[in-house]
Amino acid sequence: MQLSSLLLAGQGKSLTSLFSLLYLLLFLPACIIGYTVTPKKWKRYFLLLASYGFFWLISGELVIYLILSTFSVHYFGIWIDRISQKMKAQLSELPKEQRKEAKAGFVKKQRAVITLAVVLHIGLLLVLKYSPFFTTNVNLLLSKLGLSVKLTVPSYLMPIGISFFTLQAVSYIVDVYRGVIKADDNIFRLALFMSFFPQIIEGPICRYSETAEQLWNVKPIEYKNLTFGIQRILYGMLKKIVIADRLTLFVNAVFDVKNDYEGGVIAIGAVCYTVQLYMDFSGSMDAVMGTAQIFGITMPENFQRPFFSKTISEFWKRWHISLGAWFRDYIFYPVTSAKKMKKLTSSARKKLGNHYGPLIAGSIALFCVWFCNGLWHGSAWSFIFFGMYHFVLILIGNMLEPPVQAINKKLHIDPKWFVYRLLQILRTGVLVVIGELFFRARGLKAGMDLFTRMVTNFSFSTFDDKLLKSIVVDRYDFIIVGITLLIILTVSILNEKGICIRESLAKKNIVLRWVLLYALLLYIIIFGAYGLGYRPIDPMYAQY
Amino acid sequence: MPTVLKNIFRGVIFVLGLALMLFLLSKVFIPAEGTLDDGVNTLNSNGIYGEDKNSIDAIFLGDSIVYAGVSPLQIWNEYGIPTYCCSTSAQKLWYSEDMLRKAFVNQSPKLVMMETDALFSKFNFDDSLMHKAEGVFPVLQYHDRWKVFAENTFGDRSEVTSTNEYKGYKFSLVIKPSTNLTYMKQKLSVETLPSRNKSYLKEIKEYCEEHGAKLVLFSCPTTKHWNKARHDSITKLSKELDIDYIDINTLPEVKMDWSKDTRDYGDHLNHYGAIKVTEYLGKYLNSLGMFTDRRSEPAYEGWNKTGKNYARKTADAMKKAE
Repeated sequence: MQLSSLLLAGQGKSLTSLFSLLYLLLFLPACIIGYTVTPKKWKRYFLLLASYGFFWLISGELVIYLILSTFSVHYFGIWIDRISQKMKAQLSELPKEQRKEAKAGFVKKQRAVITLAVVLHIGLLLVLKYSPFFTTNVNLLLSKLGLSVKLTVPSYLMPIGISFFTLQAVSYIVDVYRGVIKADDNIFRLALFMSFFPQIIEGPICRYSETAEQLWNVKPIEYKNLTFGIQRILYGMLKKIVIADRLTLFVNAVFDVKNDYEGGVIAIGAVCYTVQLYMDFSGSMDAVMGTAQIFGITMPENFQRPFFSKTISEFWKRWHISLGAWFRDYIFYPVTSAKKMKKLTSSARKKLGNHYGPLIAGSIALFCVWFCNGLWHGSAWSFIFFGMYHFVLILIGNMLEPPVQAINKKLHIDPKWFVYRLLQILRTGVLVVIGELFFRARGLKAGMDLFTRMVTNFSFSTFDDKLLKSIVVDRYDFIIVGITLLIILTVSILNEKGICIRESLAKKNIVLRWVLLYALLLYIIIFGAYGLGYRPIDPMYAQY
Repeated sequence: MPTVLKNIFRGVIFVLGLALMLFLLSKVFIPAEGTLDDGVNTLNSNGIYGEDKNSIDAIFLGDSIVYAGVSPLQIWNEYGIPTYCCSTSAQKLWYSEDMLRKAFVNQSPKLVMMETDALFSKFNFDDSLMHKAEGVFPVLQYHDRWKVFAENTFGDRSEVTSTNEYKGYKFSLVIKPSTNLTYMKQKLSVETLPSRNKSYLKEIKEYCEEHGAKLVLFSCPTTKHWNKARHDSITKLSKELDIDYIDINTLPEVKMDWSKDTRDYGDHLNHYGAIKVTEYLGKYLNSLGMFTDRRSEPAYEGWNKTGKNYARKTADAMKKAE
């Protein structure tokens, strides 16, 4: 069988997951070997070639979107930079009194360019991702108004990862405009930053200042990076193959099949989905970080043990960190620092005090962030509801902060008390699970229905072996998920305390290291949910 | 020793150690008994491994459409040709190829009849690679047996070899009619075969030729999976690869009654439909002049017994159903 026909038969779907055998046993080893034998000054180009090869294998001719996006931000960046240079040159020649007016002209020009760039990139994403949703809703509205006009619902082919690389492109161009970074005149460096293969499917959404130089100045593979990278990928496999894939059957039964499960079963389904989503996404991130580490690249972490969060606000600082940071830097800050908002804040501060005063402008910005966050995850009302749900929770959290502090003080409750913190963590967990229930449900109506049944008919009386058998799962599935979660919890607690297990392990003797590695590998092989009767889930965040 | 070489050596030793462990674990995980609870999901088709050496003259490859629509014992009872259905649910071509190779270990069939639905079934690289790995380390296939681990796991083990009483055929009298009676008249755009599947078909053909077997493609009646576009595609392909092709969907002499002959709305045939299809296939096999009637051979006494048993059981069940 020719390898080319195996890879290029238009069915290369295996490569959409960093845990596929095609990736782990063929693509990645080929990259490692190719990278090692490539002369040092050509390594960067090898990585670029591998990245484009990877993207072409998963998206075929849709790679054109990535190419166009890269060319576009490259030239927009240079354009903005040239305006800046021209401005500096002209301003230095002008007398002081004329500088302000001249500068305003240049700034106006720069603003026009950045607006055009952002509108082009975000606009393309909006058209590809949201026009079917928009048209469907317009049609609904027209029919409700009794009009017989019906718009054709468009359907577009979208490359995997477009939401991720578009945000990365916008962050680059805005950072150039803000003067945080200089425009890159080397299109290959920019192309590598935009396309680095491990991150192209599910992120993290990197900033140019974080990874571009690292990627361009790559070094030969080091033994420590190679072993640490492989260990991280294995840890991700444990999360994805043992937990996320094993929960698929149960989660699908609760959310996708029409049934009349009682509230307790729905609640377990919602918890299982939350665990599945976290294990799938954070496991994929482990594979991304691990792969990058093999090549000596340090990527920004996308998760920081989110289920240890005490508030929803903290949760979102620990979950999908790069997306949250993007919204903070490119939506929240621009909104709050707008002139009108600043005015609003200063007048509100006088009337409402230092806590509630800034909260008004902050809440308006927060609303924008969460509206966009909901929409980014998908073009459906359930996702908008998901965004609004978190907006309201964070808003309530902000509003209640002073009275809660006052009550704690009165009752002599120390917020650092273990039990208090544990209760906060549990409360946050419950709120997250409710949000994920709506996120996973097939539409807002289905979500409401599930939630209502969960609350009004909360009982576990039918959750038994018979029910599990009807879903083709059994108690052993839950036992192994539980044991594996305990392992991951232990690792997370150690990480939270600042202990790096891989570093500690590297100091031990080879026998212990190998025994632990073999144990991890065999654990994944034996308890992994793969083969007959299982279907691995596609990377969940790749669809967003 | 330079550090790089030392590290490579370490890596090789680590991988060899893992391979050894997988080999040993495979000994433990291969089921002693061929029951579904033991993690064996392909029991009917695997029955061919338990047949006497060189006793099967023709095999039928393909997905569930084959085991629902072709009854080897009907062919035996009518023509004395020993055949077997090597078909599994949603069989992909990598599995067909593997099944074929495994069948040829103990058998030397002169004819391989391959159903065409699987030719359109898409699969990815991971599936075929995993299947190859499962062949080397069966623990990868039977790993889920940790759930049913009990006594007697270290005994003498080998792949499942028990025979199947209907020779791979799955008997069903359920009737759920199909209303799609014009499925062969709809002219859809030509459906091209995935190139990976075409490569596998070429390999299967070469393998058959190397082992002195004739490969024939056939399409079993199904209103759900078959259509004119697929028929045209396979007709063209069979000419290109010089393989004989029979599309039973287009044969007027096989009078399918879609109100009675399917068990799931035209997806699979039931026993009523299988009788008609098998009747035609039996005639076709006999007309090839490649086979002799083995019913009087002493080595096939067992087949005569199972054939009679099959005839009695199915007739009784049909009577009861009426």
